[in-house]
Amino acid sequence: MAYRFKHIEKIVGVFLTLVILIVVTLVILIGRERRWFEKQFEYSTEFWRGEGLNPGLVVSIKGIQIGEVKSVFLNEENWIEVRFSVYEEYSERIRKDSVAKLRSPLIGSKVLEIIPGGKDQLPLENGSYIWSEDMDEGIRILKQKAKEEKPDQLTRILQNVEALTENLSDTEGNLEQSLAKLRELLDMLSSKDGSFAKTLASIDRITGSIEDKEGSIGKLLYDNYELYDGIISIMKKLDTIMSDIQTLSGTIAETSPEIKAAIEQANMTMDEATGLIRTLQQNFFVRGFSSRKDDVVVPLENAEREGGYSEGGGFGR
Amino acid sequence: MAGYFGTVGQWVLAKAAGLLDFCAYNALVLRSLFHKRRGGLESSLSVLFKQVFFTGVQALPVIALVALALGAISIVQSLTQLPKFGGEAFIGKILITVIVRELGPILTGFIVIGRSGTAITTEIGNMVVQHEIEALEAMGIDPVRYLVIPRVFGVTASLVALNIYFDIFALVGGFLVSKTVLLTSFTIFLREIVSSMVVADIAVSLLKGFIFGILVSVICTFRGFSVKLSSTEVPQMASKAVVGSITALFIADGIITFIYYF
Amino acid sequence: MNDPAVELKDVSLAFGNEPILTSISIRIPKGALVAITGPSGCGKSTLLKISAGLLHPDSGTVTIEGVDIFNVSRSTLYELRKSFAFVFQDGALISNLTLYNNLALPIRYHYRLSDEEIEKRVRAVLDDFGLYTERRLMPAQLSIGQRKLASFARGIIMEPRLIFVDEPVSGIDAITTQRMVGKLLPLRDDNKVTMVMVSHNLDFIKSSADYIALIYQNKLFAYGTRDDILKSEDPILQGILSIIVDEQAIVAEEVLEILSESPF
Repeated sequence: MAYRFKHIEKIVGVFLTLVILIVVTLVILIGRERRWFEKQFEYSTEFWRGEGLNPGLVVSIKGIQIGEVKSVFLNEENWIEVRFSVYEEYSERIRKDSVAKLRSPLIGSKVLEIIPGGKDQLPLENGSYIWSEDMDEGIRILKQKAKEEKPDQLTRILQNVEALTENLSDTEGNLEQSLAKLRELLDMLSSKDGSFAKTLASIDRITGSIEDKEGSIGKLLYDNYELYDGIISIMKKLDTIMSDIQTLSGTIAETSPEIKAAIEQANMTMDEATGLIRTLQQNFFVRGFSSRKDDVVVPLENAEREGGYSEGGGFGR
Repeated sequence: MAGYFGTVGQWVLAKAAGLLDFCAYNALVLRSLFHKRRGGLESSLSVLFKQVFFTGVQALPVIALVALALGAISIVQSLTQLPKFGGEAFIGKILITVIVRELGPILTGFIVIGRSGTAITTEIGNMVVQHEIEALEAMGIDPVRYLVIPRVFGVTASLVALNIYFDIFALVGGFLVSKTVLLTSFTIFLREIVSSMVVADIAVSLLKGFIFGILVSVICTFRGFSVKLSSTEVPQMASKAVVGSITALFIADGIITFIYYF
Repeated sequence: MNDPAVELKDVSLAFGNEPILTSISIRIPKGALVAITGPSGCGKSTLLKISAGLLHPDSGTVTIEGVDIFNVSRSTLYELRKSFAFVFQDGALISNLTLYNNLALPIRYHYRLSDEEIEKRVRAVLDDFGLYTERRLMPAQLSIGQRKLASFARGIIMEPRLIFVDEPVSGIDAITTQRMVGKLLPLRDDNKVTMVMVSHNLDFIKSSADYIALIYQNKLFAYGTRDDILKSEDPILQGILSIIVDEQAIVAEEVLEILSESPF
């Protein structure tokens, strides 16, 4: 009996110990997944509005999660104070000139995007305060960074999409204005007394006066003809692009369910347009218009979002 | 007419009296649970070990079988059906909710009721009939302390443990079974499960095991003690214990789920 | 006699409308062996259970060593019962424990002793009762007589001051009866131990009891010393005694013959 009893005890002991082990392993696995055992750095920032901001929100740099929002509350100055944690491995990226931004992806909840600080700046200590896009200092840093850094393809597209969705939700927003401006530009390009026509006319005159002569100028001229043809084709392209945009905006107004595809198309179009305008800008023949190009493109590319963007809110109208 | 209402009234009164008895019994169990007493621990401990052995260890094969079947079915279904309408993201969450949170505890509870609940009622009922309870009383051994407390602990510990085994068998074993049909890699599946599992899932599973264990053991021992004189009462009480335990399990499950999502 | 071990006052019990015991009062003196007897179905065993506090009477009080056992907390009652033994008619061993563990159970429960210490005590008692070879058997594997002996042994192991015995010598074979009696009588002679015994084996009672309580028709018909009762001239009393028949009386008689020659 004594033996059998001990035997049972052993089996029961193994049975229960295994359970404890399994539970502990599971908890550790989950904890590792949730990064419980790593040192977390905490920072805080303030936003003007708090829609969609809640604890658990992903904090990211360029779309990679680096932490999560811990708490959100309205402080005495009626700003939304946000405290968030950053994983140890990414804590060095939070520097003096880091700025917190709220990004709204098309699908899913908002993301607290951190614009990492410059390498020359000092890393911020645990518990520090960082600027947000809603503060003057934040805006200044953002603008400065926009000048310094040439945005890569993805950022630009993302910025475009963001600006675009923002604009689309607002009929009197930037897109309409931009389209109007583009149309103005096109009008100007095609009108007979526009500077483009004048340029063409002067080119005509120059070529006329040069035509009978031979030599190096003639060669240059042939080159110039090539250039000229290039410009013409570019202009044609631009024209079709613009009409694309016009039909697109019409489609958007009509059909909201296909908005995703439409936006992608619009984005591609916008991208092409930007590229084209860049090419034009580099061409010395159209340099005269380059100052206007800023008016057209800048509000689209670097448009700061005003107020919250509510998903689909503007589309259903 | 009066006779009909009289019958209903008697039925209600009988039920109320039964419930009152049950409450008094619960109070008794609670009291002996918190009653300090030297000695007695070892004899109760050996009963506890035996209870865990019978309720927990010996139930493992059945639990494994049920868990494998359920796990394989739900894994195959969710891995093949969910992607059809873009639900891949919810595979882990759904499996965990179905297996760890809901069906695991309930099915484990049912198996324990069927195997050990009836055994406890029958055993205690027979002990009453054979005057063994009286013998314990006469020796100054508190039957609640000697018989009930270790069974409550044993069944509860077993149910909690079986719950965890069920989850493991269902998720890991179930996946291995479904591997014959599916091509998903094990590591990807495991990562998916772990990343969509939160501690609350484990906590709910453990809590359900704990509460179900207490309910099953208390109801079944109560029914055992409800046997008064003859051995023909024993099977009657056993079936009452099963029905009562299952009802209690469903009510408790509903309440826990309600409280969690409230 | 001033300080009774057990005192029953006005104890009554009825199952429904059928009275089992009516207003019974008995004082059981310390160190004595009181035999409760009466015809079959007169409520002897019920009275014994009430005396030990195992059964609640409808009315009346039971006092053991000055404690009113139906008006104390359960824990006090259990503490008190540590020094009781109750030998059941059918043994009432715990059926899922071996004989050894049945005996070890009360020690384990009440005292914190090492396994060796427990083993020593259990072994001593089992040896004494001639059951040591059966120590690994389950109760169901034992004969009725062995179960009864074991039940007695289980009581003895706690070194009780008060022993309740229900039908010690009925339904068992001669050798077991001999063993049983051989254990009972020394305890009777021990002044520290009080015994209350239910039996309808008059011969055994005649040879062992100090006092006899005669129950008849739910009432305590007569209570007195053995000689008082047995030598009473009362025809009704003698009539009642004559109808108390033990089925095993013949066996017991044989045993008692052997016993009368033995030194105890």
